Amino acid sequence: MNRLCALIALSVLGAMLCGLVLGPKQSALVQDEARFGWVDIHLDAGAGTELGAWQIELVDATGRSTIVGIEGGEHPAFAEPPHYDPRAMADSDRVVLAAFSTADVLPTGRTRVARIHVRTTGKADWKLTLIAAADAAGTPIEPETKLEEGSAP
Amino acid sequence: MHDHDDSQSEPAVPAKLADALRQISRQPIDTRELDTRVLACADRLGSPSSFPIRLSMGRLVGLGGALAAGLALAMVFWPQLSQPRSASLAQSSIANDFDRDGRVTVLDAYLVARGVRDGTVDPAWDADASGTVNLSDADAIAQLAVLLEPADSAPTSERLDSAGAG
Repeated sequence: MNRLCALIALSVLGAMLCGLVLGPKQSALVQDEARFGWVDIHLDAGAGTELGAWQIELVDATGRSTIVGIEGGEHPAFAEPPHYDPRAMADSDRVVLAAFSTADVLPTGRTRVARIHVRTTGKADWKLTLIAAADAAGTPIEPETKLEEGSAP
Repeated sequence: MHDHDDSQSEPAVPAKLADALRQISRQPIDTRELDTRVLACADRLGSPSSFPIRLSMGRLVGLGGALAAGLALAMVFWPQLSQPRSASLAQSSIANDFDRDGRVTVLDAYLVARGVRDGTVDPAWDADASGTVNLSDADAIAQLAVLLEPADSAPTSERLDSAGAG
């Protein structure tokens, strides 16, 4: 009986030690689990300037993300998904997006032009680069760019 | 014909110089000593230390290497140097670069789209070779602009075929 009690006590003690040793690694693994989220692309052409066309490049510098979906923007003129290379959706952390509109009403000021749905492992480091943009008359402009990240609950 | 009188045609030599020349001509010339001096002079000039640059084998190899390196550099950089210096000339050869800014971007597509909207199209804008210029050409150019490979990595027709809808 005493031996049985000692065996049980040793087993419990061993389990506790294993928990102490493996616990932090397991929590690190939980942190590195893949999660889904999105990256919003905002452009600000200025209060009095209509945005007619834009082209950007989005890259995750860590290489840990995969692009899983691409949506259009908030303004009706850019509501359709922008042009992109389908290969960007095939296990790529880089995408080039472009859109133009000849609608009568174009967005001015800050507007979300696209939402990129991503699958990320760990912490991503998104880099947004403006390649080209033009106002309603086709004149090149340099709107301010901004990224906003969001994640699914 | 008449006889030539040398004494009259020769220029007059100063008496002092004439005396000096006569004295020199009377002195016996020691040819052996003269030969010895000439040989010594020749030896001095012919010795390696008398040359300002000593062309040893190592220096010859170095000189040859430098010449070869210079030739190689010239071969590498000559094509770049021989290209036209005007950037606009080079840029104008890029297919679908209708705004001639040196690259194919959405701005080229937007130029075509506005032209279609306004009815001011250029036949050269027929990017998809359909025979007419319409919004499909603008979409095709925009699709070219977003391809992940460099813009000039493949012929336009191949890239248009391989590009899917965005």
